[in-house]
Amino acid sequence: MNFALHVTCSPYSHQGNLSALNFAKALLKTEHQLGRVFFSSDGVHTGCSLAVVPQDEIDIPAQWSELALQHNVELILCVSACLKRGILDKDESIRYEKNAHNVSKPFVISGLGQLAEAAITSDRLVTFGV
Amino acid sequence: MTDSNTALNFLFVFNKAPHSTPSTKEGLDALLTASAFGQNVTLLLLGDGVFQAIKSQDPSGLPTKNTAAIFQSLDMYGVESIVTLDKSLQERGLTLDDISIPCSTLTPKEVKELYSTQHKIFTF
Amino acid sequence: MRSIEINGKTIPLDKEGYLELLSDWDEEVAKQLAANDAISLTPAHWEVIYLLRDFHNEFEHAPAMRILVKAAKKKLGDEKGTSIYLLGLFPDSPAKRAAKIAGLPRPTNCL
Repeated sequence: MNFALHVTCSPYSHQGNLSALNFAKALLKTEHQLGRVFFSSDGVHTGCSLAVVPQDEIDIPAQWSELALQHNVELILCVSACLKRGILDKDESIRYEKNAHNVSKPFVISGLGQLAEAAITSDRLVTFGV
Repeated sequence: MTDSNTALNFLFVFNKAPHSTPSTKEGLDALLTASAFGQNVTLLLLGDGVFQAIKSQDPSGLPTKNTAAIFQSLDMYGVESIVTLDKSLQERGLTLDDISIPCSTLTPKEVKELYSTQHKIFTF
Repeated sequence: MRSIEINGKTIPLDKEGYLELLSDWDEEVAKQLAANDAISLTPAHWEVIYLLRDFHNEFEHAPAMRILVKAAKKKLGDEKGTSIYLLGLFPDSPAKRAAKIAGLPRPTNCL
């Protein structure tokens, strides 16, 4: 089955984000596919490249990146949620004349159309939130 | 875009009070996007979610965006199926007269049936 | 910083020409914003500008193109409620360009 995930909470404020990561890892160990993870609301903090995690704790954002690169999963950040929370890629940073950008690879900023499309094309959409 | 033959049933469940989290605006954006993609969208106001659309809200003192106003445009976006759970209203001492948008009530059994007819469910 | 001058008052704009402060908007400002986009405002333009301002005021967001067309059809009639008519007034991207001149927030390109 082809899955898509929707994550609406940030990595270290709620368990939902880590649960989504664990779910994604478990999925990819089976015959199922995971095409896209869409992060909206506080979930977009997952794509911030400036998070620093103590060595004895799980680096959730880094594990999302690793999982995506290994299994070719799209990680999409909702643009309007990102802008409000100061999560900017190079293009948005230039567009809004900010002096830095902070989106880790392979996260991509895009619109809610990507969530609608994932919901239409996947067999299952699973939301992890508060 | 999808034509009506292949349109899917998308249920949006709003279960939080307005202004308690940033999810109202983002949930509405997602709902309006799904509707722009031609899907059959239903909005279910569940639990504290019924407060999203109660009349005479004025959050200007907070100050924050009056998200209740966005609900008033749903019919223009073609979103006509708006429902709530009878119990959610009763438990909060509310009736349909307190809701600012055309909305109908469902029993728990009908909500169960609604869920079973949906292709995808979004919760905000 | 980019800005426009109206009667000795400096009004700041963002990089794409949207007002930094929505409260700066008045008709003189609208005329200048339109001139920046090489548009000279006629009564037909004002109808759409006020349609957008009323929409934003009532519904707390600016409509994208599809809904702008629908709103124009409802408020201004079938003839004016078409993308071709709106494109004629506000070339390229009517919803965005008219919103800028009407002093509404810049869209976040969500769609």
